[in-house]
Amino acid sequence: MSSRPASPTDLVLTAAEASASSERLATLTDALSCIILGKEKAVRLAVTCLLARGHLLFEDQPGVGKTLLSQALAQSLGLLFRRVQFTSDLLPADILGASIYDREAGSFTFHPGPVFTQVLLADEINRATPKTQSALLEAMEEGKVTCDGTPHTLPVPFFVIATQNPSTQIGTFMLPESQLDRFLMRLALGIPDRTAERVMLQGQDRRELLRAMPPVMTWNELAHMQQLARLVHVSDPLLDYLQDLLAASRSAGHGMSPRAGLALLAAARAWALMEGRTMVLPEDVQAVALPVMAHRLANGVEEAERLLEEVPVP
Amino acid sequence: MKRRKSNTTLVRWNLHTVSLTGIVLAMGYAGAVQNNGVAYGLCFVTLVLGLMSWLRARENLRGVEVSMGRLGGGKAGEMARLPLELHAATGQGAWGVEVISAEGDGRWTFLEEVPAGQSSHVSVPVKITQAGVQQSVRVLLRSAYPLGFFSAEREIEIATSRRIHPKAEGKLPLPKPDRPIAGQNLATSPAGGRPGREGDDFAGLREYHAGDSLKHVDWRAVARGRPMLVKQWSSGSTQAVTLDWEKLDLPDTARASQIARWIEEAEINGTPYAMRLPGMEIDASIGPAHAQRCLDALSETSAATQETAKRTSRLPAGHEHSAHLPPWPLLVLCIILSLASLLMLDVVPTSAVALFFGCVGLRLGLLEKGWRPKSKNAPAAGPTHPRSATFLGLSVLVAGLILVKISTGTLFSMESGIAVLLVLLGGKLIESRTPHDFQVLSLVGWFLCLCCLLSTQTLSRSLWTFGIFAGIAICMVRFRRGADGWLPPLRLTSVMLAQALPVAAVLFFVFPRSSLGFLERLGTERTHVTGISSMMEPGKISKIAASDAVSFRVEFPDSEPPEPTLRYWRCLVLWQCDDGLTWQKGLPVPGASSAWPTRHTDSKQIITLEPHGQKWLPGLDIPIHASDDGGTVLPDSDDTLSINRNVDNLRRFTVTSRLTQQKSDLSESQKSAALRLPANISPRLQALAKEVRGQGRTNTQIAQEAVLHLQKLKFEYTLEPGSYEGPNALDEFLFERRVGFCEHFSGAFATLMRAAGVPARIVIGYMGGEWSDRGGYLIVRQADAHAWTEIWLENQGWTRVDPTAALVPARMTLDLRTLLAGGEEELERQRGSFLWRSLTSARLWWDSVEYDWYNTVISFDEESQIAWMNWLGLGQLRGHWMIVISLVVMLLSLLGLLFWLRRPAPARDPWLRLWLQLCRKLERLGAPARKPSEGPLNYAERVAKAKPGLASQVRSLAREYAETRYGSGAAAQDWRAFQKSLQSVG
Repeated sequence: MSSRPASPTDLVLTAAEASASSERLATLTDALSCIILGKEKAVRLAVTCLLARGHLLFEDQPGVGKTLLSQALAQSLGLLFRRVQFTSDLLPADILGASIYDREAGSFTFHPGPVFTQVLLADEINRATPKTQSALLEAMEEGKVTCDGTPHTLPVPFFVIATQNPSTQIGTFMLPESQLDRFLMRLALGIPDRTAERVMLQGQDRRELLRAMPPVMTWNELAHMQQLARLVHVSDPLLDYLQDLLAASRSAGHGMSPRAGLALLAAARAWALMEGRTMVLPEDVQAVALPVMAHRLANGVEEAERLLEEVPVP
Repeated sequence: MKRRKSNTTLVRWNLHTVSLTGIVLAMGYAGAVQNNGVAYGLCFVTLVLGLMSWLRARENLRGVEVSMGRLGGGKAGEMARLPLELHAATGQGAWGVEVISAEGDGRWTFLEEVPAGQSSHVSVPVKITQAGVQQSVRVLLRSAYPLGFFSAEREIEIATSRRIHPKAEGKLPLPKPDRPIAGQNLATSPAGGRPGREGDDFAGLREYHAGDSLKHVDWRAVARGRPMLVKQWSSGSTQAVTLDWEKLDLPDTARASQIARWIEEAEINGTPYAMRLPGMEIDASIGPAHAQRCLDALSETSAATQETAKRTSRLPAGHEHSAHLPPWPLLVLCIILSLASLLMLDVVPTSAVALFFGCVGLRLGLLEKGWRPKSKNAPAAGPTHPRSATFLGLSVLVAGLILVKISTGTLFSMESGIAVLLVLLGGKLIESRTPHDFQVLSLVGWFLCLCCLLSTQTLSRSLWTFGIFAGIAICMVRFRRGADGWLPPLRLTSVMLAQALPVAAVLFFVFPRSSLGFLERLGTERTHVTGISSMMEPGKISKIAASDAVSFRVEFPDSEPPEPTLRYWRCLVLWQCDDGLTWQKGLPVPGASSAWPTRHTDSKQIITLEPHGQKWLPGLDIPIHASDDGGTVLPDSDDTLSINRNVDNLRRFTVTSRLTQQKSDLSESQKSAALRLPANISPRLQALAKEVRGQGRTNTQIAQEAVLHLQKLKFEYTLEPGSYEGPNALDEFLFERRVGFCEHFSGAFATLMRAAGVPARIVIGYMGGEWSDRGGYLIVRQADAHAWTEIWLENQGWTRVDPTAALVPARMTLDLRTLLAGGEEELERQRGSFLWRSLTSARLWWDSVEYDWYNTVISFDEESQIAWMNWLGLGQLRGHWMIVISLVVMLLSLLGLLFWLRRPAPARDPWLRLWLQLCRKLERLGAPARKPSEGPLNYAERVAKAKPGLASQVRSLAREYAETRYGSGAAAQDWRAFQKSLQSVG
C-alpha cells in the first residue's frame, strides 16, 4: 500500500486499490475493536465517518465508551488528540483561543485554544450554551477560526467527535436541526452484550490497553484513502435511489436537505471503500443511512427505517 | 404519501362523437348507394379509429396513479396549492391530462405527457371554503386524448385529514371577562398560569411546557442548573373571558368565524380566554399553543355541526373550450384543408374554392396580427374574443351562399351542397379559437374527404384523400395536447392508423354489402367533363382529341383483341346535317331495332367506362348485345347502346359485338332522314355530287368514285385546321383550304353522299386504343375520338366508310399524336428512344395499377364478396353471419388493443429486466420473495440462508448484477451470458 497522495490522473479507482484499502482499514477496525468490545458495527461506522471527512456525534448515556473510542481512534492514527468538556458556563474563547496582551511585546498575541488539534473530543456538547456550540460548529464547517479579524487555519485533519447526553436529560441545550446537520453521522454505542461485557470485566483496564496501543496507520495513508473514497463510482440508478430516498423524506414533513443528500452519498462511498468495492451499491447506502439520516429527520430512527423499508431499489 | 389507486374512469360522449357517428353513417351510405368501395373503406377506417379512440381514452386515464403530497392546515377562504404526483403505470404513458380540483378556483392544469413508467408533479389550487376537518380532497382528471371524440373523466378522492380553521371575521366586541383565572397564585399553580405579555408586571415563574415561547424561558436559572422555567407577567386584569359557542346567536359559519376573531383579539390584548364548545370545555389560558388548541377544537365542532351541508361545486369549463389555438397546427390544418378544397375543383365552382382560400389567408393574416393566445393556461372565463371575427365569419357565409347560388343556380344539388360546406368551413375557420372549434373544423375536413371521393375514385386521388384524412387526424391529436412538437402526434397517429387499417381491411371484405341502388344516386351533373357529345361541330372532336385522359378500358375475356383496323368503338349516330360540317343527332329516327342471336364468333368485351355525363355506352362496331348492372341493354335501331340515365360514375358492363357486316333493312323514315340535306347546298357541291353520281352507277360505285375524287384533291390532316364558319363552311373546306380533321372529312363525305343520293349518316366514337401487356386490356383515350361515315348499300345494309382512312391511311395503325408528329418515322424514332420506352411503360404500368384498384377495391360489391367467400370455402355464410363475424373481428381487435395498452411500463435496462426475472424464478423455486427495497447482495444472502443449495450460484449472479448495474461500465459484461447462467439456476 503506497501512501502517496492521489494525483489528479488517478481518476478511476481500480479494484486492486479498493481491496488493498479495504484490508488496511480492516486492520484499523480490528485494532479498535480490541479496545471497544462488541461494537464492530459502530466502530466501522466511526471509521467510515472519518473516511468521508465528516464529523461524528455520539448520543448515548455516560460510560459506554464514547471517550475511549475517540481516544483510540486518534491514537491508532497517530493523531494529536484533545478533549474539551463542555459545561454551561463555557465560553467560545475557551475553545477557540483568545488574543491576550503581551506586555513584553507590547501587542496582542493569539493564544490558540483546544480546538487547534487533529482529533477533538467535544464531550457533552449539549451542556454548553448555544453561543459556544455554534462557535465550535463554525470551526467545524469552515476549517478555520477567526479571532479579532485574523483567520487562523485549523490543522489538517480536523475531526470532531462530539458526544451528547440524550435530550431527555434536564438542563441540556439540544442542538438545533441546522447544527445537527453539520455532523455527518449520529451514532449510539449502546450497552455491550453480555459476552462482550464479561470479556471486558475479566480483561485488563481499557485505558492501559489504549496506552499500549501502537499507531496502526499513518495520517498520510488515511488521507490517501479519503481521496480514494471520493473516486468510488456512483451510477445513475444509484443516484435515482438516493433521490427517491430524499424525495420520500420530503413528502412527509421537513425532509432532508441537499446537504444531507451529499452527506449520505459521501458516507455511502466511504462504506463501499471499506467493503473493498469500486462502486456504490444500494446496500452501502442502506448501511450508512440510519446514522446519517436519523438525526436529520423529525421522527428520527423510526422514520429513517420506514423510508428504507418503503423506497424501492431501482 | 397517501396513495389511492384507481377510481372508475368514465368515458363520456360529446358533440364530436355525434358528428363522428354522422360522418361514419354518411360514408357508409355513400358507399352503399354509389357502390363505392373507397367510401366504404374510408367508412371502416373512421369507424375503427373511433372505436379505438374510445378505448384509448379510457385506458389513458385508467393507467394513472395519483398520490398526494403533504397538505398543511389552513384558514377557510384561503387558497392552498395541493401538490400531486401523477404516475403512469402502463407502458402507454398518459397524455393530455387536465387536472382540476373540485374545490379549486376553476382553473385546470394541463399535463401534456406523463411518460411511461415515470411521474409528473403538478400542484393544483384548492380553495378552502369551509372550516372543519377535511376528510378528503376531490381531484378530477379529464382528457380528450387521443382524437377528441370522447372525453374521459376520472374523479379521485384522496384521503387527507387536515383541520381548516374558521376565517377570523365578525364585528361583535370581545365579551367581558367573567371568570377568575383558576388559582391566583401563579407560582404555585403552574397549570392555570399564563405567560402573559412582556412589559407587564413580573408575576413569577412556572414550569416549561412544550410549545411555550423560548423567549420567555429563564435562561439564567437554567444556567444555574435549575430546570427550564418560564417567566410570567401579570396584566391589570386577572379575569378571563369565556368564549361560549352556545351563547352566540349566529349561523354556524359566522359563529365559528366570530370566535376565531375573538381568539385573535384576546391574543393581541393579552386577555386570557377560555372556550366552551358543545361537549367540550377548554380552560382559560393565553399563548400560541393555547390558540392553536382552541382553533383546532373550533374546527372540529363546526365540522360536526355542518356535516349535513353538501358540497356542491360546479366543474369548470375545460381546456377544450377555453384554451387558445396554438398557431402552428392552425397553419398546418389550413394547408391540409386547402389541399382538400383543391381536389374538389372539378365538383365545386371555382369561386367557392377561391372564397375558401380567401378565408384561409385572412385567418393566417389575423394570426400574424397577434390574434392568438398570450398564455396557454388562459383564464377559465374564456379568451377575449374579438366580436368582429364572428361578424366576419357570418358575412363570409352569406357572401358564399350568394356566390354558390349564382354560380350553380341552385342550393339543393350535391355540388352546391359541397360548395356550401366549403364556405361554411371558411367562415368557421375565421372565428375559431379553441380546440373545440378546431375539432369541428377537422371533422368537417373528414367529411370533405368523403366529398372528394364522390366524383372519382382513382388510386392517385384515393391516396391523396387518405393522406389528407391522416393529416387531419394528426392535427386532431395535436390539438388535444396543446403544445409544440410534431413528432409525438405523428407517431401516435401512425400507430393508430397502423392498428386500424388491418381491421378496416378485414371489415372491408367481411362486412355485408348491400346494394342501395334503388335509392337516388348521389350523382353529379357534370358540366365540364371532356368526351364526345351528341353534336358534331368543326373543331369539337379535335378539341377532345387534345386530351390524354382515359375514356374507357376494355378487356376481351374470350378472344384476342381485334386487328387495329377493326377497332372502331361506336358511340353515337348523327342523322341531322345542319350545314355540311355541323351534324346533330336530331330527332329519334324510328326503325326496327335488330336483335340478333349471339354466335361464338362474336367478340365479347368487358368495358370499364369513365364517367362522361351522358347516356351512351361504347361498344365495338357493331354491338349486338350488352348487359349492364345485371340488366340487358339492347342496341337501338341505329346500332348504338345507351342507358336511361347519365353515366356519372365509373361503370362496368359487358358488350358482345359482331365484327362482320350485317344485312338489314332500311325503313322509309330512315331513308328520308339519311338523305335530308340542308337547304343551302352550294351549286359547286351539287355539281360535284352530280359528277360523282354519274350515270347508272350503283351506290357502291358512287362511293368509290367519291373517295377517288377526294383522294385526288390532296387534303391535309391536322388537329388545328382553323375554323370554318358561316353558310359556306363546307365549300371553304372542300374547295379552298382543304385542311381538316376526321370530323371535317366524314361530315363532308356524308353530305356529298347525300347530295349524290346515297343514304348516309355519321357515327362518332373512338378508334384504336393502346394495348397494356401488364394489365391485359386495351386503353381507349379521349385522344382516340373519331368520326366516320356509314352509307346504305343494297344487299349489304349500312356500311362503314371511313374517309379519314382513305385520305390518311396511316391513321389506321398509328395513334393520333404519333401520326401528327411525323408518322412511321416518328414511331421508329420513338421506339429507339430509351426515355420514350420507359415513359410509355411507366404510363401503362400506372394505368394497369389504377385498373386493378378499380377492379379490386372500387367495384367490390355484393357479388365480389360472395365470390370471395366462396373462394375461402365459406360460401354458405350469409348476411347476419357476416355481421357477426365483423363484430367479432372488431371485438377481438379492441381486446388486443386493450392488452397492448395495459402492458406494464418497460424496464429500460436489460440487466434490471434479467434481475427481476431471476428474482421471480427464485421465488418459484421456493426462496423468499425479494422486498422491493432490498439490494441485490442482501437478497442473495437471504436466499442463501433459506436455500443453501442455491447459495453460491445466487451470490455470484447477484454480485455480477450489482457490479454491472451500479458499476462504472468499464467492466461491463455481456448480459446474454448473464441470461444464460440465469437459465441454469435451479
